[in-house]
Amino acid sequence: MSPSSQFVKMLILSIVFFVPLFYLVSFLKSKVSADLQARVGPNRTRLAGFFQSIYDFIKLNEKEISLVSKINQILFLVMFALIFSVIPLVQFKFNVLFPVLILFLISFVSFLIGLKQKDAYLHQFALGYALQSAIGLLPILIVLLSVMLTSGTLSVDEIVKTQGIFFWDWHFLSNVFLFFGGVIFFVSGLVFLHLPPFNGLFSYDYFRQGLEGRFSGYYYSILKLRTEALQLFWIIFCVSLFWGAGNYSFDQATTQIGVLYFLTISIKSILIFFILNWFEKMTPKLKTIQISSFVLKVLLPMSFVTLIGVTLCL
Amino acid sequence: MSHFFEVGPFDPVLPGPMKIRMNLKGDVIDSAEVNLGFLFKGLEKEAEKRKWKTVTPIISRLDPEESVYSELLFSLCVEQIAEFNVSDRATYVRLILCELNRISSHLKFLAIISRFSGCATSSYYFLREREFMLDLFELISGARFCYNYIVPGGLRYDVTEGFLERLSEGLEKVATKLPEYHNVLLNNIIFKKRLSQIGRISKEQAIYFGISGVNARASGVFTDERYGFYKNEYEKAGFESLVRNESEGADAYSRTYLRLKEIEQSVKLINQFVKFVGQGDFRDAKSTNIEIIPAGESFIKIESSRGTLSCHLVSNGNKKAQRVKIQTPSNPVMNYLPIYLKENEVEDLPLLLSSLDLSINEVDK
Repeated sequence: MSPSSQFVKMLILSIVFFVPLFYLVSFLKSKVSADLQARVGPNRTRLAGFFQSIYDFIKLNEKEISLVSKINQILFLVMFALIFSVIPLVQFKFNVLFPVLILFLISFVSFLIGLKQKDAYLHQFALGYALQSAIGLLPILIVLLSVMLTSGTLSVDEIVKTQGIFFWDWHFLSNVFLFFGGVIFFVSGLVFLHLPPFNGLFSYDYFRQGLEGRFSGYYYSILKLRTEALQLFWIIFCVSLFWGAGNYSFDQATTQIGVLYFLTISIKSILIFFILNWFEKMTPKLKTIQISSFVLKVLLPMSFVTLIGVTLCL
Repeated sequence: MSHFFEVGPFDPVLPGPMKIRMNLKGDVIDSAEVNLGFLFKGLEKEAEKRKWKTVTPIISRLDPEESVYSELLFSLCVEQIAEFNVSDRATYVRLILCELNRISSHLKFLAIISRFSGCATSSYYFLREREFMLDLFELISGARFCYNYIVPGGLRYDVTEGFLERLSEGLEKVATKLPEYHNVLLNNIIFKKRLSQIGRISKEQAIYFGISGVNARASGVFTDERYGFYKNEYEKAGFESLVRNESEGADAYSRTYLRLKEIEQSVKLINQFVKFVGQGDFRDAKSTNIEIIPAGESFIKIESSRGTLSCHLVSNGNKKAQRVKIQTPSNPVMNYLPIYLKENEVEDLPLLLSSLDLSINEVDK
């Protein structure tokens, strides 16, 4: 099979895997959140509100757009393209730094969207966003160094294959520091990407509703899509690196082993997604400066401890 | 880096239509200026233009969320001049409604502050219980806001059949949920971190600016008008005012904590008041068709859920009042607001404002 046809096959498989999982998780999230918050949740569209997300997307795209003159459309198009560019990354045939680079670009474009608004308040918050992202990236890189030392490679595909589905096959059994490293990596990623519950700027309930509150229509839907899609992608990425995605290959998707791979990664991702969602819904939000302080005082020293621990255990 | 920043007149973080102009130095508020008057109703003058018996519906618009207090205040002033006799039954039903409104108002406060701190879930819990309080008001008066139920001489109607039973049921529900409120919000470490050390009001400042209610009591100022007009009734029910004694003044967390404690206290008070309701007339027969009130003057203060609410009423013996002057608890806080906001971070603005439990309806009366 030629490399181009191989790539097309992978792309189709990624879309077949990622998009339904994303939709299912969004639907379950809305139902579980409603149940947590003692309210009904989506119930108007068919199948207990299953089509609500589609309805919302259509409704948002039909809405009148405010603040058109201040919106830089190119940045939104770039953002939209970058969100879709994470979909092929779930096949993990890349160097581990490549997804991090894509996520860094998304983060940078988000910062530019805030900076492009002719508003002193948003300029200030865009700078806060940049600060938070920069600080959040440091523990990620240190933990990745630990992973490289343990696995001897930075290829995600090979890191995935070195550990099995069950916890006794994970890295942490051979090296307990790496398990905590995984937790640090996961939380730092949420900080780095401004994902809930560390979404100072992009939170809806924040001061003047953050950046999302500034935009309407499809601009809003792109920002919302960014949050939801990146959250799921980051969970899948962390499960693969640290918590056993299964020593199978993505290109075996059509076989029985491939189905097992999908099930493993989906169940684990959904489980972590709901734990995260519960935490997001039940706790208040920290300020950007408090989040940065948390990274510097807790996550960064712990990531150094991970690196030293991993090195000593080698 | 300093820059100018303006919020309002219509913004979700504000307690109502108002404008705050701020000079920021980085994240910190250097100076603030408050502009009001976007919701001016001319309520006092409107009350002076109307006949005595048609004033109550207007007065209840002072703050639709807390119309029990404004109705009660005006009724007490009229009763003092006209010398109406209010039965024990009517008095205790009035007090029950006052405490019920206090619970409802504090629950709304908690819902708002939890929303602004980013904890959406607990705000739904507070609103769920508040709905039950509003249902009770609907049962007794037919309205969820602006009740028009307390009138000079007593109550407009007698208590609805089954109201007291449903009231006990509702209070039990709130009482069982109180530990949950503590766990979900006040004992939450992130909530504490967000609200502690912000929006400090010292005891001296509270006294100097005439701040009343929970905002003052949290700072250690003993001010509670429940020891005023209805002192005997409250003492009979075993009431003791809750005052926090903090040497450095109260922060936003202390004020939130005290409001939750007041809910607990109000539940106990209502349970006591229910025992004293008894049988009797719900309205003085003389007051059913008021045309003229004798010439006179009265000044009454009561404790609303936000603080001291007072009214000065002058009658010259005509069909209409000569002067109606109302002082609301949010007014003094508005004067204090520029000093209060100073040296706080702009990111904390929603929490700073919501922790004061302000009402622009009251201010722009």
